[in-house]
Amino acid sequence: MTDPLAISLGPLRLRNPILVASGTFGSGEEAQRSLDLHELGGVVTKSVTRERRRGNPPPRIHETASGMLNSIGIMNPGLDGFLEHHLEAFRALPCARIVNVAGESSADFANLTESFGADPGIDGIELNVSCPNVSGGLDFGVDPKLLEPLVAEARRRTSKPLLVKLTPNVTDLAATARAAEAGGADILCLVNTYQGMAVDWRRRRPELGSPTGMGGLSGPAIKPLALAAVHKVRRAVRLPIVGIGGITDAEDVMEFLVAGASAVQVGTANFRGPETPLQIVRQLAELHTREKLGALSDWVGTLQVPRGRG
Amino acid sequence: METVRAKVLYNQAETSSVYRLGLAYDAEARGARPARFLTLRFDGPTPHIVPRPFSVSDAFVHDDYGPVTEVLYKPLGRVTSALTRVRASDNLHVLGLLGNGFPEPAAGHTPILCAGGIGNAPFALQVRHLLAGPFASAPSRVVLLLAGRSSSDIYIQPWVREAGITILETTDDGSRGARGRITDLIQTHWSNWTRPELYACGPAPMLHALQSFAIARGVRCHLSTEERMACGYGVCNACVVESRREGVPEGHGDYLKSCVEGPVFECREIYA
Ligand SMILES: Cc1cc2nc3c(=O)[nH]c(=O)nc-3n(C[C@H](O)[C@H](O)[C@H](O)COP(=O)(O)OP(=O)(O)OC[C@H]3O[C@@H](n4cnc5c(N)ncnc54)[C@H](O)[C@@H]3O)c2cc1C
Ligand SMILES: Cc1cc2nc3c(=O)[nH]c(=O)nc-3n(C[C@H](O)[C@H](O)[C@H](O)COP(=O)(O)O)c2cc1C
Ligand code: FES
Repeated sequence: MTDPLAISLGPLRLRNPILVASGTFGSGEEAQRSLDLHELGGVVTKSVTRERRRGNPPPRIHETASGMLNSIGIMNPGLDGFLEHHLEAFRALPCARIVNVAGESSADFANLTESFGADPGIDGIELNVSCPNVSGGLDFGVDPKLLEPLVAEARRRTSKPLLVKLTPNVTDLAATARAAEAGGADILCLVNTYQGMAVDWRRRRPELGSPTGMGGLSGPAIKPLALAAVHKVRRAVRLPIVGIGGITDAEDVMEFLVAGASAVQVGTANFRGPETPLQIVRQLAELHTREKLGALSDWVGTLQVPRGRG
Repeated sequence: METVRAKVLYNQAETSSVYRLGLAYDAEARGARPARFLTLRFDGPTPHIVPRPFSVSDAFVHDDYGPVTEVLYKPLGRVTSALTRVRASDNLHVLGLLGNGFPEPAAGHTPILCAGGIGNAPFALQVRHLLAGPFASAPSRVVLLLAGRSSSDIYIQPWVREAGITILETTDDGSRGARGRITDLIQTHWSNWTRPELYACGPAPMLHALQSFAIARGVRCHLSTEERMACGYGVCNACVVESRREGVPEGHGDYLKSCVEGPVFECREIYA
């Protein structure tokens, strides 16, 4: 019997539409040690960069109303460190394995993509063109003219499913989505965090320790923004979409599906505990049975916005 | 490591700045060690997104309640203040047990437990473990120093006071015990202790002072650090402390994840 929650995400077949988001689940090893992740749709790694990154000075997180800010600064062991210490365990995960890479140049993205581009233990590569925490480098994700050739270059280095994770910190998300599509992306992921700030007014200082004082907002606070982003991009491109932003339960998952996502990633909610995404899978299975949802793909993008009001 | 719902058995103010929370949660069965921790989250009265870390303060079996895990906390901000309104029979989400915990003292060494303010949290359990082990027949050799700004910061569970260990107190304002800092108290009594080994939990300036002191005196000193955490289990990279290595200047050391590689570090391993 096929799994009732199974779903196609472009070239990827997933056991269910629930993945975990980059930077919120390590590379799955920590959770796999105490849980069995075979029920999960997939794991996306923390962003891997060419060189190791130390990240920003602490404090690196601050809770806000229904959300949190982070300024981790893509702390990661770099490509060599990842290959040496994490790849083996990551490849052994019993669900879809997607490596997230981040670069400071188009060549970085291409080379990182190539490093994983032919690995049979990797099911897809996600380009993080959107992290607001990497200072110095260009923010490719905000400029369609930079984004399209960047994606095209990475595309040439792999035949694996190529996911592009977009930043919402732009005036025209449809334009960056179209650029990623034109560059040859298979799947679009949205959103990454929204740039934000928290202020300790008594000390006249930002709460976060990053050099800019700013960070990225995530959690339920951004869910309505992320739903609107998915809805907009759905109308602009034909590519399948992975919805990300504030998802904490199965109801949230269905909202994203109806708005146009074929799958979702769970981020901040994982900080409740490593079993969180599995609980959401189980909730979704229950909801599926209870409300006789049928094929999940039949729900994708079925949102109807009544016209001609007012 | 897993998240469970645990029932609150009691939650009461012991002083104006120390609350004591009892949970129906078996920390001992999950490998409790002093300065290991758990994270707490509640759905009400003020729902929040990110769980908060707390040391396991004590773990024991109660006649009526069965296994109890105790947490001491100080209402400081949003979550710790809301925690004061949690009542017996409410449920909390508990993720544990996390982190490494204090190592045992080396043979023949005198454990000096240094608590600054709410840094008293891990020490009841440490006293319990020391008295169940190497110090069973010599409880007075276990030394507990309680330091704080004023008398309301000075607290340890009542049974610890009756356990026969040596307890010394000091406050910045002299409202209880000696007047001064914990380092003053240590200087005063230093010569009474054979091969002291320090265990410290408290505010960053105190950890810093003890680190300098221990390095100068050439004694081992274990610091329980308190960084802001999101996950508590090693996946988010929020909770870093800077490692200290010969030849690497401060500000350039690697960051260590204090939730998994700590929260306890020997003072020569990090910049406190
Ligand atoms: C391993 C570990 C063990 C801990 N054990 C205990 C314990 O046993 N008892 C206890 O009372 N507290 C303990 N803490 C500290 C406790 O987690 C914080 O006080 C709590 O997270 C503050 O949450 P809040 O929402 O009340 O404060 P917020 O509203 O988030 O912040 C209020 C103030 O507290 C400061 N703060 C935030 N997080 C921390 C932190 N992690 N450490 C110190 N200050 C912080 C903020 O800078 C701010 O000034 C521990 C922390 C760690 C990392
Ligand atoms: C602590 C933290 C670290 C993150 N690190 C990364 C990262 O390295 N790469 C990336 O593409 N996204 C990163 N993200 C963004 C998440 O993957 C996700 O897009 C975002 O948090 C929104 O989803 P959420 O609201 O469910 O958390 C991070 C988010 C958080 C909270
Ligand atoms: S708190 Fe998340 S890695 Fe330590």
